[in-house]
Amino acid sequence: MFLRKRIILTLVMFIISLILIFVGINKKEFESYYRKAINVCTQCIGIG
Amino acid sequence: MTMDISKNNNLKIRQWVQVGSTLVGNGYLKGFKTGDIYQGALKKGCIPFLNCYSCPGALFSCPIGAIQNTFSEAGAKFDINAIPYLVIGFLIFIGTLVGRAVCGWLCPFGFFQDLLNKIPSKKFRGFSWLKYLKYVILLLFVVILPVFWIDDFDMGVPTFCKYICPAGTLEGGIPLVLLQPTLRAQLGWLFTWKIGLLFLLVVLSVFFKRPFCRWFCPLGAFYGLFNKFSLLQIKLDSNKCINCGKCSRVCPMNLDVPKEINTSDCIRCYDCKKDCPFKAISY
Repeated sequence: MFLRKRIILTLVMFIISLILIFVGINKKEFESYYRKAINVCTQCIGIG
Repeated sequence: MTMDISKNNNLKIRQWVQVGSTLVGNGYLKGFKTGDIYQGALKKGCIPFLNCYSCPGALFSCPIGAIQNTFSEAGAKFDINAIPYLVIGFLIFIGTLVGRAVCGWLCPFGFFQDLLNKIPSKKFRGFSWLKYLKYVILLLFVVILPVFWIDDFDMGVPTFCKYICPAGTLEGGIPLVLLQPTLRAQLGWLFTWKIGLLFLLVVLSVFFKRPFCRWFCPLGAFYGLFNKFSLLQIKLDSNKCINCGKCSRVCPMNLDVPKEINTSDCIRCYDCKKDCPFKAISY
């Protein structure tokens, strides 16, 4: 891949990731992860 | 002699980093004694590698678990607001920064497979087409099924965690079942299936290098998409390379390094760099 094209793609992906992170924080998505993560997930451990 | 020392140092450094990340990700040691899981604020954040949040020691959330959970919570009411923007943005950021280096340096389940592969036995390469399976698992079990398979409680089913994830069985299922007698009474066919899958992967890991990372891991599949243009790259000087094959023999992902350098399966471990007698591989 040409260097210039690669650098542009890297920059674009960084910008997209930061926008998504900003949107996610704004929506307080971490609260949803927290609610799930502090209880034993019976599905994850194979109980159902 | 110097080359051997350098090679061993690299392997040791990577192993120590893997030990360190396993401890950081599962640093709630009290949980392994009491069978409780950590409920502090750190669990609002995801760790960049596969690490079950139901592990008694887990301090952070698992990104693949968080993605499925967000889809599952929306249930039949799935819309644009049910997309897990934060964790997807986080994974894109990490992928753009280092590609699959997370798999090579940080993932405890990758480390587990590396250790199993050290058991002396005949080693096999495996079928190369199996590498595409992890993309099917990413799309089907992490995205499509959790969105469209709605259970009796109007929730999506986190199918990867529930039916596949061997890291969850190893880090969460086995310790919790051993520590909590009430959970033991509820075991059924699903636990048997997951234990069987874990056992199969353990056996495969002895004979094949990193079978889960190469063929099944949805997180590795996602990070691999960024390998071509991530900031962290591996460079091969074709003028110095004599195709001796030493790099390919040490590659933990069984890559043909001169041909497959920086492809989606390279985990940036740099074992090839340290083993190259002609210094043809660099950062």
